[in-house]
Amino acid sequence: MSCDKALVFDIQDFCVQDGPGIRTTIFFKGCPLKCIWCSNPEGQNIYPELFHSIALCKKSHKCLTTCPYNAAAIGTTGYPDFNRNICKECNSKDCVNTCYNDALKVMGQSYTVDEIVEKVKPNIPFFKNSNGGITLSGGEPFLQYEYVEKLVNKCNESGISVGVETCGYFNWSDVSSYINNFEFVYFDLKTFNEEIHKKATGKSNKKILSNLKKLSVDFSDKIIVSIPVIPDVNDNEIEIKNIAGYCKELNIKKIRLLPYHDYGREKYSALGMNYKMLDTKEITSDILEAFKSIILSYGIECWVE
Amino acid sequence: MNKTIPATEIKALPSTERVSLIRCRYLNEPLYIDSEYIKYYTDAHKITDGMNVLQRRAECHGYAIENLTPVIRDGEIIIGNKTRYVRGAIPYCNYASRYIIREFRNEEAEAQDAVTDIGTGGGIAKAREMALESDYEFFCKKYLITKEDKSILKECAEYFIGKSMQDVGDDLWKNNFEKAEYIENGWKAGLYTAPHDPAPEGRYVLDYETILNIGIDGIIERLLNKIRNEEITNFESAEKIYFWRGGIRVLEATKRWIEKYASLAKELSLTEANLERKQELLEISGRCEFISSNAPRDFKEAIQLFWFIYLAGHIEGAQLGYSPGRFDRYMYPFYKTDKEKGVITDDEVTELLELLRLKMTEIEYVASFSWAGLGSGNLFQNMILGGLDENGKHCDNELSLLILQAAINCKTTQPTISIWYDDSLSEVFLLKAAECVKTGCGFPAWFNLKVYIQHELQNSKLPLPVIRKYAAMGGCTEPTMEGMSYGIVQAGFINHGKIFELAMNGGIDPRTKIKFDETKIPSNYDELLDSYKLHLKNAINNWQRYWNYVMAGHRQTCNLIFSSVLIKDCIERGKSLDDGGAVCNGTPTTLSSGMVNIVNSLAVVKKLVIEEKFLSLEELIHACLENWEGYDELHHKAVNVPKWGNNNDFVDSIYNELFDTYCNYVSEQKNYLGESYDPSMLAISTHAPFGKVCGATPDGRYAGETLCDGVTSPFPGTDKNGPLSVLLSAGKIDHTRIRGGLHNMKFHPKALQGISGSKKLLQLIKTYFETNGFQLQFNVVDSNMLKDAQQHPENYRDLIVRVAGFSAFFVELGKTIQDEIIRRTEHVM
Repeated sequence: MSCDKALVFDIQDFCVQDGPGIRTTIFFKGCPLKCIWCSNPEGQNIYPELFHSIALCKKSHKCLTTCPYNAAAIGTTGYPDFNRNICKECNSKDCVNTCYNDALKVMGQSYTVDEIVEKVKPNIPFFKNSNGGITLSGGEPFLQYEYVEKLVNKCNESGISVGVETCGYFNWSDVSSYINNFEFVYFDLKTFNEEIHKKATGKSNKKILSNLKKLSVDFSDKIIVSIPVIPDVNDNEIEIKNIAGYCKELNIKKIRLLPYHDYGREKYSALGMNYKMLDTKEITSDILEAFKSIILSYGIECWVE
Repeated sequence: MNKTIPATEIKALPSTERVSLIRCRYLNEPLYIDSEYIKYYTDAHKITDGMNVLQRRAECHGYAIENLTPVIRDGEIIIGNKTRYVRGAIPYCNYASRYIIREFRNEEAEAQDAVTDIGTGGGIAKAREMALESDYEFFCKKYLITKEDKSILKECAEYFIGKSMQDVGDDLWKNNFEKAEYIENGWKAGLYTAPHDPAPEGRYVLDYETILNIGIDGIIERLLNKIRNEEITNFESAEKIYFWRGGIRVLEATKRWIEKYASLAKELSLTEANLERKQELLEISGRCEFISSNAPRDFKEAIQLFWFIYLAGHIEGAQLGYSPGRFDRYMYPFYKTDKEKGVITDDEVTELLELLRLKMTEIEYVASFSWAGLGSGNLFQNMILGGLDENGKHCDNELSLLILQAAINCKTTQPTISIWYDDSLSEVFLLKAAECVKTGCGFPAWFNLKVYIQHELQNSKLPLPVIRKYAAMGGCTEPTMEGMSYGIVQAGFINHGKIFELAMNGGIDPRTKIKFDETKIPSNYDELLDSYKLHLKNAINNWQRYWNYVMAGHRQTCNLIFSSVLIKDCIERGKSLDDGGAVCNGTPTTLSSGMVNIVNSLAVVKKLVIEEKFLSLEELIHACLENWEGYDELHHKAVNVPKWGNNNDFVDSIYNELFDTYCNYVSEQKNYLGESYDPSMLAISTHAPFGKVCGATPDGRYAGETLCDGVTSPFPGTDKNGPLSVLLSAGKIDHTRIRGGLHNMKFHPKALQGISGSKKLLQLIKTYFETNGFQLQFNVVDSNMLKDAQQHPENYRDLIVRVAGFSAFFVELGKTIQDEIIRRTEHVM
């Protein structure tokens, strides 16, 4: 990806849980982590992907005939199956254009900085009245850090406040020069345990913890640490205490808890991927309340979303 | 799976045991038809032949209301009923009686079955059940009626043949109006809604402020004064005296009706064993006795007098959208004085307000089957809160908050609540109103006062302080000036979908083959647009002219006397409402629905025929006639042309042009009172039957599919850029031109959760209203709607399940996840 354009899989307005006020969230495509509970699997790969919605598919099988590479075949369920390796290389979009049920779409569209700004500009009156703005999410926005730098600067020039949600896995030197330009940073901390982190996300948490530390030196006020509360990953008091303790040490003042949900499950099959979080136990509101009390006891503001 | 979503955010229960019991009583009650009023009315009518029409109308209504049987039920504090039943409707044979006779033969029901769906649950199901096992009979597919009442009704209905408003009106227009055939063809083709005659009244607000200040005797005194100072010198001055005398007749009858309630309360107190209730009944009796003549002295007397006056007006005519107006403004002085004196508590007031809600919900109406289906049985009583006073200061107060709390506590359908929005309204009031939205009840609806003020400045040219103070809502979304306006009467709705079909097909309706005005079959965009405009103009103007004949019939038969004496300046001018007595006579509107489908259709023509030259207009019209069969590719292309509601100037500019055209055509024609008709756009439930009679349209809509609702709501599934873009589109039209309109938005409860969710809702409203948008109402999605979305994903293409950092449309999620979300939504609600 050149830094003039970014790959984005969704732009969604009136997002009410991605920061203060009324916000438009830009979902960037591509993420260094592959969390097993990920609810936006379409945000993982940094290339456009074919998305096949079973709910809208009426099994017309038109895609079988229109695909110039014969990448589609009838699967065991009667719905079409796609050879993703071929689709990955395809630029034709023929199947998408001829699917009259709109069951097929390509996830991932390129936008220049100006295109994004022009798209969100009409929403500025809503942002102004609510102290809102845009939130960069994903995926991992900092994977496209050069573009993000241009975007955040351009937005600030246009009077649009920008916040970011990051998984924390990036090179500090790539973003340190402009991180100050964000109004807030939602920073994910999944687990303090390196082994579990590797198993659950595919990467060590060392870089993440270190980035959080560096970020907190000057910008601890901008940080909201997000803990996705995931069954059998971090849903225990020791984890919560470790994270809260670390945040306390770094003078971080806000933590939000995001209880695990499986709303993204169906998107895996739409992308030809496998969902790994099956038969999980419950995260009850009692557990969440208990975690919240622990965090509050560290003098850190905490809420459940 | 986890259940992390907190339990019901807004907890709501009736505030007292009393309210609970009365609410339960209502919920368990079937619907009845009560012939008592119409029986007395008919008796009086029979012996008043030859009398002056004003005098005769006053005599008939007066005689009927003073003979009504009073009913007081256990636990009631506010008393007074429209009928003898908890849920009773009066069959107004004096308005229209043929449909009742047809109903006796079950004809109409069968004829309309094909195009109208009517509610069948709740009280209706109960009525059906009871009819099978009792002496009652089932009537109009909804109601129970006793055998005795049924024979009375039959007699009354037969008596009014040739004498009802409908028959007198029909006789006038069918024999004299040159376009009579056009109108009848319009009904056959589905160009118009069915005749509105059975329930034409409503959409006005009485002058409660004055009667609460001077009492019934105060009004009678004014009338007597006018009579004393008038001398008959010509026909007009004689008519004035007939009118004033009629006013006194109905007010005296209303007094007697109230006195009967006072006596009954006293009588019941004598045998009441429960001492507390005995005392209550004595107090009720005392209150009624006093206010039957005098102005109320405290809040309890005021709310009781309000209710009697409101109800008496409701009884006089076949009302829809008859509304209480700015209740929190005119009742506030009574509340404030009582609070200062310490004679009433907020808890007591809340209970009274909850009881009043129940009273208003108990009113039922019976209209022809087709109209009942269109209005979904709704009475459209609208209580509007907030707004400004004459000096431009915000008008919300402690009483406004209690009214909202009562609505949250006591879930009833009536009255619906609206907010006159202004930036200066207090934060606590706005948050309480947002809380009420979040209960999922669908109200309050939000109205931009600034836009309506502009409308009235342009139309009625009343002074600004008057508009501020008396701006009210008279019906579902139609603003009116409280206590000084003629009703927003209208003939029904015009079907834009059908007009467009006529334009595409040379003036011939493809479904019925009926020929309207002949036009050339269009071969390009401009010809299509011109043809649409021609049919639009004719459909509007013929409809308005037809309705003027009907209103002339109304003047001869059903002129409202009681309401007239409670609307400024009827007494002063010595003229009833139908004779132009009201201050504002520019209120009658012309309504239409489905314009968004036409805008989208024209966008498709412009894009595919003109710009891309993908096909000829002729082929596109042919594809519509074939209902897209064999045109899959074309249909897909049509669906993907940008549509209204995406902040896309290409489409939005078409809307602007059509909207202005519509408003211009409507205003060209004068109403029965000599003022211009006022344009208005809403849909109630017309978009479904209208869609049913229309073939496919170029926007990709299939034959028979419902049309778009409201004025500015996008067609389901065509708004692909989210709610902000929808509002940006909606804000582009000049809302000051129309009297009324609505915009629906739906949200999942998660989107509005907590105080920050409430604030975001308010910020959304504020921003939209800054663009001069007029109205917003919110459906906080309930599980039923989500279940419907599972069945009909095409109607919910835009519904986003809002969870932090998550991206998905509801309809794109699989069944199991959808089920999970539905289950959770049930938890949240």
